[in-house]
Order: sequence, then structure tokens, then C-alpha cells
Amino acid sequence: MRFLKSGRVVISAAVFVLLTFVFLDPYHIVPVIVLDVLTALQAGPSLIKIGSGFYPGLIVLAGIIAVTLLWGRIYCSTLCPLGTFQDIINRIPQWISRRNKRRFLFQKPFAAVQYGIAGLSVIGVFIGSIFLVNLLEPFSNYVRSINAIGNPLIISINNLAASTAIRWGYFGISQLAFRQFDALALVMPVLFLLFVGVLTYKKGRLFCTMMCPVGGILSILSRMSFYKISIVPGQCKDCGLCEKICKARCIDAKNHTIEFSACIGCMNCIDACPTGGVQYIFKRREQEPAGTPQGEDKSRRKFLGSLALIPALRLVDRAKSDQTADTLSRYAQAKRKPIAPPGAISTKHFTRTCTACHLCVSECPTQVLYPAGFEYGLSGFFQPKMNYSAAYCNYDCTVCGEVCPTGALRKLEKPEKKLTQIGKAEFQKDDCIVITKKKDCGACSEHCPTKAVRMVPYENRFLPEVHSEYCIGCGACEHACPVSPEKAIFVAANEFQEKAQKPVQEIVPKSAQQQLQDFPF
Amino acid sequence: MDRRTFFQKSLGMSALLGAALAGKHESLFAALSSSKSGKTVDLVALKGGEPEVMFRKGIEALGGISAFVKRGQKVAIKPNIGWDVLPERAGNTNPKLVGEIVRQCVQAGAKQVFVFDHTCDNWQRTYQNSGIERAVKDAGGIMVPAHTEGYYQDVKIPAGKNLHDAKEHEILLESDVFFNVPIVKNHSSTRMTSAMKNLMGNVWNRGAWHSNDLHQCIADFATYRKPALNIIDAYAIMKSNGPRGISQNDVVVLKAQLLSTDIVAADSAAAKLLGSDPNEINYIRMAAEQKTGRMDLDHMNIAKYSF
Repeated sequence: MRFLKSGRVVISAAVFVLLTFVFLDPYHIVPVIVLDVLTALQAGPSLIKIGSGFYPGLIVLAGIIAVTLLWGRIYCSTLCPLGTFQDIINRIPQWISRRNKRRFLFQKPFAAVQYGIAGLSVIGVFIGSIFLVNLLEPFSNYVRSINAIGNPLIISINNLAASTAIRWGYFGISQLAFRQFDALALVMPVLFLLFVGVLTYKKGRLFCTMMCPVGGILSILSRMSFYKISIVPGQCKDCGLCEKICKARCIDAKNHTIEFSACIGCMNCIDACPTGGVQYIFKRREQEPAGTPQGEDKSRRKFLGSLALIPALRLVDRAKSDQTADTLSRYAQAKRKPIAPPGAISTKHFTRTCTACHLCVSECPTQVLYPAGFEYGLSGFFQPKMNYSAAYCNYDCTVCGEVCPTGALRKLEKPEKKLTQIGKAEFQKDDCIVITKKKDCGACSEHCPTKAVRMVPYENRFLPEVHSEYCIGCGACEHACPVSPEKAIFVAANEFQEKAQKPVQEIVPKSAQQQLQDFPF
Repeated sequence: MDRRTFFQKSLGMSALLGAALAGKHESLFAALSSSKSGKTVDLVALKGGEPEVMFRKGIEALGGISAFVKRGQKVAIKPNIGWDVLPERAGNTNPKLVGEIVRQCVQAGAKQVFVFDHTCDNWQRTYQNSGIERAVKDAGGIMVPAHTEGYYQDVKIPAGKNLHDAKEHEILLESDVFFNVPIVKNHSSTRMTSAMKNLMGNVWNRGAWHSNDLHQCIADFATYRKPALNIIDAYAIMKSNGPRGISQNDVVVLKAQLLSTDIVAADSAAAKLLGSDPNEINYIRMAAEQKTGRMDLDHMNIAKYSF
């Protein structure tokens, strides 16, 4: 049965390396279709995406559920990148020295806590708070962190290579622009990986058996698994190797029991047992060791108790300050409301379904997408928003909706995207250079792809004029406006994304279409 | 001397002789073309041909590409590659024209031919979708990125009234020859974009121009470095909703091209092609007042060609 463990290692390594690469790759060489397949393998986002109707990736989710119902939480040791991350942390001491081999001891699972977190996460999603998922969902947290930490490093290396190459007359490597720096967006991911790393070093895969909401859901399913890893009484020689090697700490070798609901399916025990005494056995119902019914009861009570936290979840969600200070300028007022990317349907839909995995942030070619702080509320921390100080949304680009694994961003076809109004431009005449400096400018109108911003004669100059029915809120005008720090033209968010009117155009008369008859000079 | 060295030496000699003859022939030809009317050509205007065909004729009228590019020199070409739009939208310089210029520079023995622009839209998409990246690479040129501040260096503009310094792309500082290759377009800020306005893509900090009297800054920057030649693409021109345009309805196929070493003269003629009065475009007037070039088209020796 050795192939079980080695097969598991190969799959997990492949998924881990690919996902890590995708989130570090600054050139976006991985095609969207591959990204879609990779993220469809992730249970967390796929579970959220159920809400947006059928899509082919759901078959993968059904497969994951089926596998769990057959053999338990194998998902946690194969497809989950955070699981593999912890396995690597576990391995490090052993790589340094053979003698550092980790030894684990059985620990009674924290089932109540885990089911509490899983239950609250699910209920949260239903009542509109994604806080716990955002905080603990393993895929999103791993890839978001690796992107936040790795991206600046990769860009530094690339730029060093680019400047060296140019000195030698090679122009094939181009400089890359750093994403706008934000302390929170860097510190939080570092803290998260540090937390999981230290936890793994001290306690094995406790994150997975106690805090992970996806693990919790799969754990409930694995209680009903047809096949469970078990110690075969006759073949066990009581060496205890299986317990020592169990990262999930769910094997009680002394009592010959395995808490299968906490088993993360790594198969290390099957591989380690010298006598073949640890095996998958057909066992629909877990045989409860004596004394557990009481414990079960307790955990059920604790789980129900945790439901009392639901109102707290609502409070967390409401924590965003709704009061708009009248003393603020119109610009400052508008900028308090973050603008969700195109395809978000509404701010509400977006903030309730985005797990902040930052795949869109990583893939966005203009880097206009940027992790929010708490602008979306406490629950929506790190969900991406449009950052027009860094860039503006490319008119012909639909990448963010194509890659979103949770359905928070709907996939938009190009013609639809070009009419999707995510916000409206507002013009503050009194701040405009044409008024304040009495000089021509027009940078806003120049960049506008729909000519919602037009230049109209004003005194002996030209002044911008916004026709918001044509505006799609791409932010080109705001980005280009040279007035600082508060722009004279800026986009205010649409709570609900609307459909802009098709840009109207005078058709150039046929006579003008003719070629030049004579030079006009 | 054995047979082998004899062959080598005689081959070398004949190559040298050939090169000398060719050089002589070209200069003879250049002299002929400029002496056709007795005085030098101020402006070449062409119409009715394909972009690359018109350029071949136009550059010939100015003495051929070798009058501008010497063997071993580095050439920088600055087309307008501002917007992520396809060639038929005429938002960027015609890729066929850019490709032909690169090809001729390479044939003239240029060491390297660089093409770049500080794009407005995302640079990678814009380089690609404009068709210019492909055309340049096929012709043997090098596309140089210009999208981060790291590519730019501080330069002084001593003759500037409002604009005294700028961050200019380093490839310009490295190159021996600079060709300015804009497209004529309607422009919402400045009425027209053509040769002088195109130079805005040479610098990083364009925002400062917008907040510091755009017209004067454009005129000021034209005093800084005179392009060896301005080649204005007017094959298809954007008559409305410029500089980005909304759709192909903004585009008129004019099939024209202008070449001039005088950037002000080139822009004045371009304005007329667009149907505007050059006097109403402030930066042209300002540049003429600053003696950067001439705008009196009526008193110029204009070589006109029709196909």
C-alpha cells in the first residue's frame, strides 16, 4: 500500500507548486483555462460558487465530496495548498537532520471548536457575513499570503535582471512596476503564515483539525465515510509508530483507535506500519469507544452554544462606519465607498461572496485591483477594490471575471464589460486646472474610452463635461487628472452595477470618407 | 602571397571599392534630389499610396535613409503607441509605416533600432494590439519598454518657458538618431496631436505638463531635441473623439503622409490635413514664436507626390 502515500505526495506537490507559481508569476503565462481548472479543485471557493448556479467546476466539487464520503478527508492532504504548506513546515526539521524526525502524540480532537467554526462560516455566508471564511479559508489565505509576500520579491529579482540585461544590450526582460505599497496588505499575510507555521511546528496540523472551516465541513462528511483508516487488532504489534507519525494527532495507538473525523488522509500511518496493521476498512459507522457518547453530547452542546455567536457575526459585519461626515469634501466622501471590480453585480453581492484569494489582483494586467483595508467593512477585509491612484481599468479587459473562483465576479463578455457601469465620474469644476490656472488641460477627456467626459468651449479654453450615462467608471479620467491630492474628476461607486448607454457617435459623412483630392497647402 | 591570401585580399579590396562606390552614388543621388528645384526641400507631402510605399518615396526625396542613418549608429523611433486599440482604429501610428522605417534603418547598417512609447493604456496590451510590436520585430528592430520610472533620466530644457526639466527615456540619450513618427489625430485637450504632441511620450512625468499650461510645455519640449526627421502618418486619421476614439466611425482614410526635419512645419501641414487652422492650435503658434520651426507653409519648398 506504499503507493497511497507516494501518490498523495505527488498530487499535493503538483497542486502546491502550480498554485504557488500562478500567484507569483508576474508575466501571467498560465492561461485562464488552466487557472479555472486549478481553482475548481479548491473546495472553499467552489462551495461559495454554488450560490451562482451551475458551472462545470461543480462536478469537481461533487467529486471531492464523493471521495470524502468514501475515504475521508484526503482532500486536506492532496488539493489543499495550506495543507501542503504545513507538511513542508513539518518536514523542515527532518531535512536539516535525520535525528530531528517529528514525534506526535495523540490528542483528543477539538471537534466542538471545529464544527463551531464550520457551522458559523456556513451560516455566515447565508446571512451575508463572509468574515470567518475570509479569515480562515485555507486556499484563499495561502495564495493571498504567498502573493502579497512573494510578488515584491519576484519583481525585485526581475528588475535586477532587467537592468543588468539592458546594460548588456538585451531588451527581452522588461522592468515590472511594483504594486502600490500598503503596510496592512503585507503585514497580515506575514502574520498569517507565521501563525500557521508556528502552530504546525508546535502542534502538527492543528489548524486543519481545529480552525479550518473547509476541514470542518469535510470532517462532518468523513464521519460518514464508507472506508475508514483503522488499526487491525490482530496485526498490530503495539509499536506505536503510527501515532508518532500522525501529523493530525488522531491516532491513539494504546487504545487501537483512530479519530477518523480528525484524520487528514495523509496515509503516513499506512505507510509507516511495519506489519500492515493500519488499513482502510469498510466501516460505515464509527465504532464509538466506551465513554465517548458523553463526550459527543458535550461537543454537540458546545456546538449549539457557538451559534450564540451569530449576532456577534452580524455586528462584525455592521462595524463599518456608515455615517458620512458633512464636513468632508465630495471627493473624500466618494472615496470612502470602495468600487468593486466589473462583474461584481453589487457591492453587497461582491462582499458576501469574495474570499479575497486575490487571483484577480494577481492577474489584473493594469494592477488597478488592490486589496481593500476595511473599506468594505470588517467582514470584507482584503477584498479587492479599484485603486485609481495606481492605474485604471483597461476598457477591453475581462480577466478578473474570468478567473474569479467564487463567483463574486461574474464572467463578462467584452461587449457587456464595455457597458458595465461600476461607478460614475463626478467633476468638481472649481478644482479643475482649466478654472484654477486658466489653462487648457483635458487629460481626463483624453483618456476616456467612451467620451463620457467631453471638452466643451469655456471662455477661450475647453472645460471637461461629464455625461454619466455613458460613463462606466473605469477611472481613466481620475487616474489622469493632474490635480492633487484631491482629484478634480473622480469616480463614485455604484452600489449596484448598472448598464451604461452605448456611446453615441456622429457618423462621418461619406463625402469626408473620400481620399485626399488636393493637398490643403 | 599564396593563392588563398590573394583571394582574401582581393575580395576585401573589391568589397571596399563597392562600398565606396555605393556611398558616392548615394550622396550623388541626394544632391540630385535636393537640387531638382534648386533649394532644399522643407516638407515632403505624399498621398494616394500605402504607408510603406509613400515612405520609400518620401525618404528618397530627402536623400534616402542613409542621409540620416550612418553605419553602426543606434536609432530610436518614437511612434504614437498610446492606446490599446487595433490598427484600423487609427489610434496609433500605422504599423506598416513603422515596420518600413525600421527595415530601412537596419538596411542602412544601423547597429540597433529601438522603438518605444510611454503608453497611456497598459503597455503590453498596447504594444501588442497596435500591431507595432510585431511589425518592429519582423523588421529587425527592438521594442523597448517605457512603463516604469526606472527607464527615464532627468534632463534640462534650457530654452523652456514653463518646462525647465523632464524625465526623458534613457534610450533617447543613448541613441545617435531620433525619428519622430506620429499619427495625426483629433485631440480633446489640444485640438490636434501630431509631431510635437507625440514627444510627450518621450517623458515620464506628463502630468506636470497638464498642470503647467499644456500648450506651452509642448512647445517648450520641442526646443529640447530636434528629431532627425518627423514622419507623420496620415494614412487613416481620427477626425473626432480623439485621441483614443470610440469606434471606427471616427476614422477617415486619407492615405497621406508628411516628412519634414522641421517639426513646426510638419505639424502645421498636419493641422491642415485634419481640417484645422494651425494658428488656432496654440502650441504650434507658440513653437513658431519661439523659433523652433516655421509655420509659413506658403513660403516653403514642399515636394508633393501622388500615387
